[in-house]
Amino acid sequence: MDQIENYINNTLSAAERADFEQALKTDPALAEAVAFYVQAQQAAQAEARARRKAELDQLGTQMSRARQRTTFYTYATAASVILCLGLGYWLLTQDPRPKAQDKAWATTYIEKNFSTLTTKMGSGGDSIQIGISAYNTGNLEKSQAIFNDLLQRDSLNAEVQKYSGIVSLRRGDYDQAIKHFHRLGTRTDLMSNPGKFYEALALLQQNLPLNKSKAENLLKEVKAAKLEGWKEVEY
Amino acid sequence: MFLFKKTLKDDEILRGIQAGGTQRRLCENKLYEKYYYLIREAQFKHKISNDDAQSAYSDAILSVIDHVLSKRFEGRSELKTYLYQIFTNKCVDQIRKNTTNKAAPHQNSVALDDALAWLPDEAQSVVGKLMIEGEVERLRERLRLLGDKCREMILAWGEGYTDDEIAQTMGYNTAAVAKTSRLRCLEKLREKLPPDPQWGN
Repeated sequence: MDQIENYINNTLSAAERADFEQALKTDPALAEAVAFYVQAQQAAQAEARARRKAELDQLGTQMSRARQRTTFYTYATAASVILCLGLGYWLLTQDPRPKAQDKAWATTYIEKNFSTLTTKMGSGGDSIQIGISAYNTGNLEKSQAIFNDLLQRDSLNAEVQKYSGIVSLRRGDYDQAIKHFHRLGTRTDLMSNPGKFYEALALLQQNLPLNKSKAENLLKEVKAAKLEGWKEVEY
Repeated sequence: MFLFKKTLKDDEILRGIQAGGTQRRLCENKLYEKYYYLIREAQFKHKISNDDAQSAYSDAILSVIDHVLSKRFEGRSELKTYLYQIFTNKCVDQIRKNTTNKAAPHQNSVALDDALAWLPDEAQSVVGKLMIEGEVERLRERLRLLGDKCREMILAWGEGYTDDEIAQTMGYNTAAVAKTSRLRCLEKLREKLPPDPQWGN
């Protein structure tokens, strides 16, 4: 085999080469060995090529999968970026402050401003004060009775109308509260009239289906005309 | 990710293949990766499946590697152009193979004739008569039955690696020792052949 390879690789001297070629014609064993060597080389080349091709095909499969993954991740990333941008835009354009027309806003206002009542000097005498005291001590029923009685005797008393409405509101009697505040709100003779604003609060607390839009309209009116409570309105 | 792998220039790839050893294998893979996109183009152009296009591409790459090693590719055209031409031919071969469902009949005998071309004419006819169609396939089967080390060595020789490169990768002290082992493995391969009047056993 060594001699055969040396002959094929042309590393024999000229004389050795000539001897080899002569022997090839006359020595069947040598001829067989050369035939074997040539075919073995062919077989080795073919087998090596087949194996290398399989390795390259495997590399191609890996690249194809990687490409699919890359495409998927690219689209997923793009979709995520678009989603985040959209979400960010939406969040930035949202007003973090509670909306004026929310029931929660109305509840907060009522708790903050109607937990106790104060009275102005010369506003109607001891009866109103007694009604307010009863309210401030938590005796809403007594307070309601006092103010209802006062209203019967003086239906045009704006303070009594206001307090009647507030007591009804605190007691959860929203229909009565709305009625009182509405009457108050329609008056044109008052310097400062909280009627429409309070009516809106009562509507929001009552929380019936059409109340929200009614309250919205009242609050827009309060804001536009700068009626009492307009600074609280967030339009 | 393949997106961020470094792409070598053509001359770097060619130099790497010709350098041999581990660098050759690495640069062969780089060549394959660099022009992999041609497969999709071929699919549409020749209307063949992805598998067929991929098979033709692998064949084309191996042919280009052979031509680079044998210096048949002289660098007069761009490597991409050269590869593309071979790849197109391989795709056409694939289509013909799919249509007729058989390989070209005379391929093996042409290869064997080429293998004997280095012999003088008289010797060619003597040796040629001893070579049987299909014997190469039998030898391939026998090759798979050899021990791992012998098989790896013969396959490396078949791929065109020198004895020096084989010695380095397989841990032999010198090229001469690697060569002796390889020839011994060839003898083993010959021994594995069944008795046949052709071989005079």
